[in-house]
Amino acid sequence: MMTFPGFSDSIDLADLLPSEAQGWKAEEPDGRYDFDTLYDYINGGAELYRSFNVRAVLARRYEKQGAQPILADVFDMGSSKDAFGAYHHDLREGEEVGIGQQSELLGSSLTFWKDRFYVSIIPFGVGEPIKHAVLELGRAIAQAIPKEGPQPDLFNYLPQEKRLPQVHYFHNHACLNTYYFLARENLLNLGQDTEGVLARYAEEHSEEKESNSLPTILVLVRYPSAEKAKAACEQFCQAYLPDADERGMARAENGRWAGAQLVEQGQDKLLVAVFDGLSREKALALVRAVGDLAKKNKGGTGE
Amino acid sequence: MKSEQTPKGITRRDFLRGAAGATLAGAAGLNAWSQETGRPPTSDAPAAQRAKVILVRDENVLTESGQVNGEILARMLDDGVNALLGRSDPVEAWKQLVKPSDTVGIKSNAWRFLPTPPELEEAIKQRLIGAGVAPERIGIDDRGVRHNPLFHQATALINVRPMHTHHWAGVGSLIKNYIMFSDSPPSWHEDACANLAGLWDLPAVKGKTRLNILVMLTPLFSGKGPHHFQPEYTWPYKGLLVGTDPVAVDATGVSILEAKRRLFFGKDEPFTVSPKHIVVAEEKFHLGVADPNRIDVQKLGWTGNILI
Repeated sequence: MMTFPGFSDSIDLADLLPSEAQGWKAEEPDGRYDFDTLYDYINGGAELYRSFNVRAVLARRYEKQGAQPILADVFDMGSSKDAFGAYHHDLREGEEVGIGQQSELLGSSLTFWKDRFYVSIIPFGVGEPIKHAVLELGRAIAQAIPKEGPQPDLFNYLPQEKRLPQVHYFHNHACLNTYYFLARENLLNLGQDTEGVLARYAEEHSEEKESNSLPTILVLVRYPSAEKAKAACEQFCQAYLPDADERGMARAENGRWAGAQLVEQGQDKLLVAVFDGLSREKALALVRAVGDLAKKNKGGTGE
Repeated sequence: MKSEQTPKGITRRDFLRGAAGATLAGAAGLNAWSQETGRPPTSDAPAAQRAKVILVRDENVLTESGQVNGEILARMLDDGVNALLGRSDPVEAWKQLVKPSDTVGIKSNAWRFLPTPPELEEAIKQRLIGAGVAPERIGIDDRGVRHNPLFHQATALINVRPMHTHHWAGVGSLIKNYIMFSDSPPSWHEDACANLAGLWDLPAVKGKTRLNILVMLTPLFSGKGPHHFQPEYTWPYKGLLVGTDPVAVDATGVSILEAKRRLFFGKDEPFTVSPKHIVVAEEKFHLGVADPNRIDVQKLGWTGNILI
């Protein structure tokens, strides 16, 4: 990993963007936004980036005579975990083009994250020339970010077997509800001081007639204290799983299994919740697998 | 295992997820909901209630480079309004919608990637003038409506916007277009913006809407990222949807987006966020008809790749 000692929090985002790419030239002035003013730029979309603690955004428009413009946005999310979270809010199914730590090229639009920066480059038009310019811009920005950053360490506790590639990282329940609608109420007591991950698992088809294409959902949440984890788990189980058995498992209305337990993780306790498990045993096995990984990684919080 | 249930068979999990059928069924998309049940699961709307929506399209309304032909667009508007109101003269049709004494706010949409075409705003304005409304009593605005004196005085509203997928609401709809009348737009975002139809009860809005126009010239059928826009997810559908029932017009727009998504992705591809607010608009707010089976869509003009 390459590091630059001079790289500090006070970096000017404008320094990360080139002035030109493939004949598209930066138009003055840049748009600059922060946590409070981001609504001015992307309206309600700002809520998402605020939920990931966005600090600053720089928006630069590139113009070229006779061609459609390109809009490049660099989001300083404050931490690589939140840059990762902003990037993975959307399902990433496009082409990985090796820019930044993870990237997606969707048609001619490029998105990537690197260190604490989340970057979106959108052309207003389509076609090869503008796509090449977008890629050149992306490479230049990624190169100007001098180091990489760790992804959320909670992913260390996700079992790998049968895990689908799409994952999400979140802080609050509005985001969780976007990925898997749980309840209107904030049953898990989520907030900016909690962090969670959601992963999907593909279960093999069984003799059951119901749709088996529905993946099993695994949610892990880390709370700032063991007490808060315990309180959240109790609240969730009382409200959502009042019919749970002694292992915290209940059969839901769709015939699938849901459950929640606390798992020891060093000094902490992780809340582990499973939804849409194909069977009680399979749901419990997923929880157990998290527990095993937590034991292996015990004590470490990653960063 | 016993499941804890209410007398109506709704479990606590159902309740927490939003026991009304709309919230659950809406997650599947309007068509799936409609095909499965034939009508909203818990709707108390009369089964006979129907809505009329006009879909008008013209193959030449956009140039090769995507520029709007204002003349053709104005003609599409006229054709749509005439068909909706059973008239042959657009001036007479618009006189049915507004009175000369009205103050009219044209609630537009200024989203930078897919704004309401200025040509359409102008065509609406000209028709309002033709119906006898003084030009100085016609306003066009989007984000400034709360501070626009004309909108404060408005006795009539014309609601016009393009349809696109949306990261909080599933789709940017006519129902949603009134969110700028709220002093706190983010407060409507909870639960996929399910209760957006409540906006239509705000004093600045309630009972004032005379016409809804959903612009389907180049709709956005999917999106990601901070702007929720990629040009690859738009296509030249070249249509307008016109109606007096905003819910029915939105539901028809969603049906077109769903069909396009099916075509593009090669499978049923549910919206990332369910546009449940359209179903909730009928079930909870009784704002109009969301069930495609109870919407009569009259199609005018170009029929190529019409999708519905």
